[in-house]
Amino acid sequence: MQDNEIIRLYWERNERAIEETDAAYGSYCRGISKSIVGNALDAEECVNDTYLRAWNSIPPERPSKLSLFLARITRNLSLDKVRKNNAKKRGSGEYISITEELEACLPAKDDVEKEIENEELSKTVNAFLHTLHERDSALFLLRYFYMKSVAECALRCGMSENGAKVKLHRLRAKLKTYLEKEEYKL
Amino acid sequence: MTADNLLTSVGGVDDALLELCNNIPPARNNVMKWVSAAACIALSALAVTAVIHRKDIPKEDGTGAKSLPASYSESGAIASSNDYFTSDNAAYIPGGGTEENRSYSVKVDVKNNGTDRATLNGGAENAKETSTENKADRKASENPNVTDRAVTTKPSVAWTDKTNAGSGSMGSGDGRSEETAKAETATESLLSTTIVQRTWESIAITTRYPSFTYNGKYYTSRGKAKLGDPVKQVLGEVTLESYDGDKSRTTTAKIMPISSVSPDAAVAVQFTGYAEQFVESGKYYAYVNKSYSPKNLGQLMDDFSLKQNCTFKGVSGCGGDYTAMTFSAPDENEVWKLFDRSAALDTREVRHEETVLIRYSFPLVGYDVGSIGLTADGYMLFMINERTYVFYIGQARAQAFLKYIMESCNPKSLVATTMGYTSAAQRPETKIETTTKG
Repeated sequence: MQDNEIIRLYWERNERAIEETDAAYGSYCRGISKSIVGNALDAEECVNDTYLRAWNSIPPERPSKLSLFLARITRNLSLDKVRKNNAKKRGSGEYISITEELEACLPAKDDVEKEIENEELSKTVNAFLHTLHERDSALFLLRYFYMKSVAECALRCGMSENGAKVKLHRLRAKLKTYLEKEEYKL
Repeated sequence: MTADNLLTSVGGVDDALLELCNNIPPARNNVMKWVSAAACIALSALAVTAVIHRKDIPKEDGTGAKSLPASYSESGAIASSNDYFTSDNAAYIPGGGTEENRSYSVKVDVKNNGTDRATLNGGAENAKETSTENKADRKASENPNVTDRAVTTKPSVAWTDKTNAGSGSMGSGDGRSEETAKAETATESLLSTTIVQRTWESIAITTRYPSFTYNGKYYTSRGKAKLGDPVKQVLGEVTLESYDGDKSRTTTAKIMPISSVSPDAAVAVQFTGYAEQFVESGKYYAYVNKSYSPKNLGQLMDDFSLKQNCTFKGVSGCGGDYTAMTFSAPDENEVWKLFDRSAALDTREVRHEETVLIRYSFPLVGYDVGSIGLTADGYMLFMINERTYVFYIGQARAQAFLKYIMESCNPKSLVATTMGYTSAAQRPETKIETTTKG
């Protein structure tokens, strides 16, 4: 089934939309999530949450490219999962639950400011990637968006692993210079 | 700013950039590599030529001029039995020297007649020819199979090229290197991490045999349809083919018409000889003709007996002022007013943005929920048979219907929530469960 037909199922509030999404993009989303969270169980949970999020977002959203829309959601949910897992490892259960309780007391302004900052940073990173050669952008995104291993990035870009490492190092240095020029404090 | 902020912000890059990852452009440096390699070869060839040609230029110690006549001198006049030449730096002696050494550039003053120049040129050409032959002979004597080897190593180069270009295709060739084989194994292992296979026995029969061709028409499965009374007439039998991994599987089935639906549009299929799970004896499965193409909306209505089989469930807004709105089920007569029987099928590849979707139910061919899109500029997009059929029904009809639903079908806007948009009142509570494959 094609993207527009799957999206139409979402708009119809037809639960088959989930089945069709899973058939078309299940493996793709699991692949993204597994690269980030590192285990199949958590990845499966993130993918299921992705479908729920998609169900709640379409309508009113009508993504032009469903795969990328799902990829973003999966990535964000998987990152959240990793953050939660790491936080649990660091502190005791009570500490986590208390900080979570207190987070609710923080003024909303902080979140808004943070969101605006992130949005600005995102625009800057986007602009930076547009200054690169397409191949370099792809390598950067394979590593830092899809979070693929360096070996896989190298394989997909048709270069040696060592070559990919060197290239990524140079790209990070370029990004640092670019961000400094844009007056970001690192 | 933290690394985590930065990582999060990468998530906001635009689609065009992300698309690059699915279609990685060929390596620029590979092109440069080939260009520089070609340049290196050319330069090396020039250098070798120069060395070859210079090696018999006599040195001060007398080496390199073993074949030159004794009358040669480094500069100045050369005396031979008949001819005189003068030069600034070097000289060429016609008829002298070895066979390979007569093509270097010399500045010559011909003091005699032009015949010697002719000898000079001819000598150089002969020398070149001999030189080429010699090289070929040398190669042949070193390795008589040199041509064969060049041919057999070519696939290896081609394969490496593909790998370098980031192509995922698996070429083959006798000359594949160990590195290439490793890369192939790595690719396979990466792919195998994302592909989950189900066993043949665990999948539904319509998934096992998703399609067949009958009377030149391509039918695809619509799952178990609610076909109502058994259809008595058997149109024919068909053998369905499929693959279980590498293993070919076949089964036979009876083809029957679905009551009130043209066999050209959809048929009922009864599988024979199955007593496994998921296959209930005597049940029919709907297969729709994916190549079905009605001339006009009237033919589609007749072939599917739409008025008899279709019920309308509700309307969702999805474009213009109707975005994020829901409506209650419209009066069926109002919907039928949209169906202009003479509206011809529009086969142009044009993307239409629907303003509303009318949800319909047509369980006879396996559509519990289907949809008809309507655009504000008068197009109807009927989604059935795994395809979307476009008809131009006219702007007036479309606008009249849009006005009707806005006025009479209880319009409600969807409400934004933290998880997206929802309307608890309108949307049925949905428990989403996804089954893990395998």
